[in-house]
Formats: sequence, C-alpha cells, structure tokens
Amino acid sequence: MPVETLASPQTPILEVSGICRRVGDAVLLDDCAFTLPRGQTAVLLGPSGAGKSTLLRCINLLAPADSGRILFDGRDIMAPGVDAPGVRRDIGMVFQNFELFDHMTVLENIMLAPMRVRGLSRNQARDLAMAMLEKVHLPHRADALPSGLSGGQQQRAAIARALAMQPRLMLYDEPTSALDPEMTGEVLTVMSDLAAEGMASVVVTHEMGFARRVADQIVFMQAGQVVEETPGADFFAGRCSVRARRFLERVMD
Amino acid sequence: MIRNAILAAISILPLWHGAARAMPTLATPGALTSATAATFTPFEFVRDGQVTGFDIDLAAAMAARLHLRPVTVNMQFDGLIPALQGGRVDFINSAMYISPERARAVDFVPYLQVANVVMVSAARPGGITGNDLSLCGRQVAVTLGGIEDDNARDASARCRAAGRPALDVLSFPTGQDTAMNLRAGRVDAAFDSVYGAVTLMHDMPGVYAVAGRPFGTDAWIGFAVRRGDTAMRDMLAGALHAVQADGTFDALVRRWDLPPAEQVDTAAQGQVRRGGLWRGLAACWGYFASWLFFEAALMTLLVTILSLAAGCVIGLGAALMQSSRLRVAQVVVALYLWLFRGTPVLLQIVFVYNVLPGFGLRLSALLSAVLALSLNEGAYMAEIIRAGLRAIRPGQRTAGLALGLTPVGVMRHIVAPQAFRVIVPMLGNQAIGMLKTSALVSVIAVEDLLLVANQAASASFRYLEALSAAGLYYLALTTLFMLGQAVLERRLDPAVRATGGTLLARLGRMVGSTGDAR
Repeated sequence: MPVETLASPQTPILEVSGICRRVGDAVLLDDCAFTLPRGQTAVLLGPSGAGKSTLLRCINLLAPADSGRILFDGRDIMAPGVDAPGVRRDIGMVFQNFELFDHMTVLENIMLAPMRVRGLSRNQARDLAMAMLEKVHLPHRADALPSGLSGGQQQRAAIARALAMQPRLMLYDEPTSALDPEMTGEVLTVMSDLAAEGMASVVVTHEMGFARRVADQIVFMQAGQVVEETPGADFFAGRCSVRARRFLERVMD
Repeated sequence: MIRNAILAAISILPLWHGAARAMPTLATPGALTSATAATFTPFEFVRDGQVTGFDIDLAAAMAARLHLRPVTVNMQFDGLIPALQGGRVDFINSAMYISPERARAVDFVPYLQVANVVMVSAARPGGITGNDLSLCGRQVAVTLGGIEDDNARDASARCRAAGRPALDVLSFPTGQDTAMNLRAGRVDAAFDSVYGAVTLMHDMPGVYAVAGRPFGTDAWIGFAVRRGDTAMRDMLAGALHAVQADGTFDALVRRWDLPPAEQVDTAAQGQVRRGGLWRGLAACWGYFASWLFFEAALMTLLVTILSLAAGCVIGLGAALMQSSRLRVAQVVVALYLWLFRGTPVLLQIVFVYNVLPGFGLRLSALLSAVLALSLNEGAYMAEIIRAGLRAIRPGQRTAGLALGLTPVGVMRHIVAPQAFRVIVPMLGNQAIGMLKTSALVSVIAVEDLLLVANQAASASFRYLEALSAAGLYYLALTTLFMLGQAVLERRLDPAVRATGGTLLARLGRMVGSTGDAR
C-alpha cells in the first residue's frame, strides 16, 4: 500500500539534512541541510564548484547521496526500497542545456512522460501538452523540432515538459546560463509566474536580479557546504555572513 | 593461398573421428553420404539443377549394393576435405587424384586410371609437341596438389638432365582455372586429364588442342575416406568390387564415354557455335531467368537477412553487456569481439560446420552458415551499436530519468531511437557487405548464388554469362538494400516527419486535395 504523502499543510515540501557525497577522495557535499516550505522558492547561490548542482541532483536521486536524509513532502525518499522513478515523476527538473529530445517535436517531447509514465491516452496527453505550452507562451511551436527553436523557446518548452508531469516541486539547474542575455528574460518571466502561482522551486542560478525578486530563501553554499540559509530580503539587504557578503560584492560588480 | 592454408589447418583438427571400428559410422544412418564438387564434367557436374555424372552414378550403384540411400552433398572443392574430416559425409566422391600430399590427409579407394595430356592453345601451339623437351623453360599451368604437379616435376627433371631450363610452373586451385589461364594466354601449356581435355575441346571448339599422346597411365582417381577409417574404406572397396564384378562399372564407363586413354580421340573438336554476342546475351538471360538462379538468389537473400537480424540482436546484447558495470560481462564480450573480429569469417564458417559436430553440435549447412555469419556480424554490430549509444549526449538520458521514466523506458523511448538514427548508414554498409560475404558459405554446401553460378559455368564453360547473371542478382539485391536504407533514413528523419511525413503520405494528401477541389 503506497503511502503517497504524510503531509499536512504545515509540513515543508522539502527537508534536506546531513547530505554528504564524495567521489573518490573528493568531497562534493559535506553535511548539507536546508528546508523549503510549501509554495516557496529557494535559490542556491555560491561560487562555481560549491556543489549547488550536485545538491540539486541529490534531491531527485539522480546523484546518490552517501548519507543524510531527504524528506520530500514528508516522505523519506532516501530510505531503502524507495522507487526512484516514482519519486522523480513528482519532481520536475530543468537543465542548463534544455535537453529536449532531438528526435521528437516539441509536442511529442511534452507528451512522452505523461503517456509512458502516467499512462494518459494520446488525446489526453495532447490536450495536457497544449495547455502547458499555453502556460509558457509557445502553443504556436507545438509541431516544431527542438533544433528549430531559439534557446529561450527551447528552455520554455523544457519547462512545459517538466510541468506536464504536474510536479509538486521544480528544480532548475542554471536554466539561463546557456542563453543569450536577450533570451534570459522570457525564461525568467515564466519561472517568476510559476513561483507566483505557488509552485515550490529550488533554483541554481547566477541571475542576481531574479534571485532578489523571487527568492523567499537564499541557500548560500561554498566548498560543498551550506554556509547559511537566509530569507531572500535579509540576504540582499546585507544581513548575511561575511563569506556571503564577499561573494555578493564580487558578483554584483 | 591463405584460404587453402586455413582449410588445411581446420581439416587437421578433428582427427578423433578416425577411430577404426568393424562397422563404419555413417554420417546419416541409412544413407551413404558423399561430398562432391560438381565442376568436373563428365565425372560430376550440374545438369538441369541436378548433380549428375559418372561418379554420382557409381556411388548410387554402390549404395544400392550396401542397401543404403545415396546422398550427394555438393560444395566448393575447397570444402571437401574439411567436410570429410568433420564427419559431415562418409567419403569424398569427386574424381580426386591420388597424390602423396593428399594421401597424408585422407585414405583412398582407387577406382579409375586416368591418363594426362599436355594441352595447348589450338591457335598458338607455340612449338609444344607433347610431354617432352619442348616444354623446357615454358610456362605451364597445373592444378594445385594434383597429379599434374608430379607431371610438371618429372618434366622439369627431364629438362635439367638434358641441360635445358626447367618448366615455369604456375599452380591454380582447380582444373577449370588452369584451362581458363591457358585460354587467356597467360600460360603456354597446361597439364590436364585426358577426359577433362576431351570435354574442353567438345564444349569450347577451336580453343584447345592436345599436344602429343596421353601419358602417365599410373595416375588414379579415388574415393577419399577419413585417414585410419579402415571400416569405411573396406566397405567402399567391397561395394566397388561388387559393381565391377557384375558389369555395372563397365556399363557406366560406356554410358559416360570414358574409354581407356589409348582409345581416346584427342583431336576431335566440337561443333563451332555461331553468333557469339547474341548467344552470350541469351545465355546470360537464360541463367538469370532460370529457377535455379532465382532459388540461389533467394538462398543468398535468406542467409543474408537471417544473419543480419541475428547479428543485430547479438550485437545489441554485446553492446549492452559491454556498457554494463558487470566486470564478467565486459570480459566475456571483449573475448568474443577479439575472437570473431580477429579470425577470418571463412574459418568461422568452416569451423561451425565441420568442427562443432565433433563436440556433439550438428547443425544443418544453412544453420551453420547463419550461425557463423551472425556471430561474426554480431561482433561488428556490437561496436557499431556501442558507438551509436555513445553518440547520444548523457544529458538526454538524465532528462528522461528526471521525468520519471525507468532506465528501460529511457533506453526504449529516448536513447535507442536516436542511436538507431545514427547507425542506419553503418547498418546499410553492413547489410551490403553481408550480401557479398554470404558468398563464402558455398564452401559448406549452401546452394547460394556464387556456388550455383560457378557450377553452371563449369558445366558449360560460359563463365562470363553465368557470373554476369549472378552479378546482376547481386546488384539487384544491393539496390534493394540501398533503397531500404534510404526509406528508413527518411522515415527516421524528424524533420521529414515534422514537415509533412513520407513522400508517399505527401503524395496521398496531394491526391486527396485534388479530390476535394472537385
């Protein structure tokens, strides 16, 4: 009997604690912890190599953590016997390089998982996919191939693909790093809209403007450790650690 | 040369078959099974799709004496001794000359004395007058390992004794090859059996002539049995003796016109055929349109498609095992690739057909061919598929997993379709290569295009026509495969699907829209 959720409205959507991951002698994550309340957006900040992307991939079990605990909607997803694909279907993920499937049209990209994982019929999946494309303002490119889209359009299609699984949590791994500056705006707008609708999100980004606008919470990382977990407003007002302030000064120049 | 060396090496392997027993072990119970290379008129050749000739009739008569059913397995000459050693057949019935070299590999039951002659070009005899000093210093063709080799050695010795230069000897695999080289003017003379020469002069009038008289009446042809298989040798010798005693043997000699050498008319030429080009084209078309060639083409296609399909499955399995984390699986696959890419495919075919029976695995010729070819193909496909899988960005896999697909689902819906698109051009290469590699299976008695064409040619000496007909079939099949590849590439191209589907579908819509406009 699968227990889908033990959650009450007060349970955070995500509680990460004591996450460690090492590969060989390299310690990638060292005792990382943070908590994300329902409907909120956390932005992971920190210098390159701090372990932000690795931590993100631990959350949906793409990278196995060696130890620690991850409660997703109140459920321990690192417990033995947890079905990883079953966890991932409830957590959407968006990648730096979009990773749309090159051999499918945009619509087919979005329909694939609802049909193959959720078991929707082709017609149901098509309706759902079109609705998601409306959400990201791309319905006119439904039958295009990914290679025929601009970078910004590709990333919005990838967001639509993740949303079609109706996830309870979205993970964004540097979603605008591969985009030309004039295209980051359209992607960030979609993300902001989703956050405003109450979609819980964890975002790895270097877009300080976006972080300042959207982040309920900043998780600052350095050298595989979570240095601090601060409300977004406090962080950008300078009420944060010395190390974080130094980082901010460097990137805000 | 290499080919012969391989076959010779293979034939030495399964010597354990030779154990002497009172009753011989039969390859097929109730049958007397012999191997023949039906390219030697009038001893064994193909007429109207049937193997026939003096040897075939003789074996049938002997089988009747033994109350056994005669079975003839027809293959390329190179495959005869391996098939015997592998226990595929009871004996070789292919007018085999008894030479010291062959007698080291097999035991013989001699049945006919065959004299040899010196054959020259009818138009340019070049002053060669027979098996004498006129041969000194000249280029002479002989059959490799045959009695003709000894003839040439003796002639050279005579020349040297007389203070003249020795013969310049060129060895060829079959009597047919020596004849073709003489016709092409690449040699001055050829040693051949008197009956072979008579047949050549009859079938190709005005091309060949016999110089001097037949000689070397101490040469015999015989049935070959496994070395040390005295039970089989004695059984055959007994049956031969019986058909000689009751006059059947002499009747066959008369029927197939094989008089003693001194009675052979070595000057007679056949009737000259007219209308060379037209007749040639007609003959080529005749071969092409014949049921025999059509069947052979189907056999080639069948062997090719079965081997390709099985090769793809094996290759896929090997590629997946290789990219798995199981060390054992990786080692097994590495060993497999090393073995099958590192040895000639001809050797693999002969091995499966002739050596595996010694270990209790006895597959039919067709199955042996398909097994060997698909194992070979699988080794190459494994590398191709692995390259195809590696060509897909790891991020595509990750994205699939992140959507909640299982690893199998990711492989099926995301990685495999993209990898397939990458490997289709290489797959096309392999398919066309396999079509031509399949010609090698003729050495284990699979009646494919090349075997049938070769035998049709050697029965009628219409090499150009028969091989052209086979070539036409190969070209037709290759064209078919190339078209298939083009269609597949179009269908897999996402751009084509996104902008209006296949050519056929677009054509269909065009027809449909004119209908609406009416």
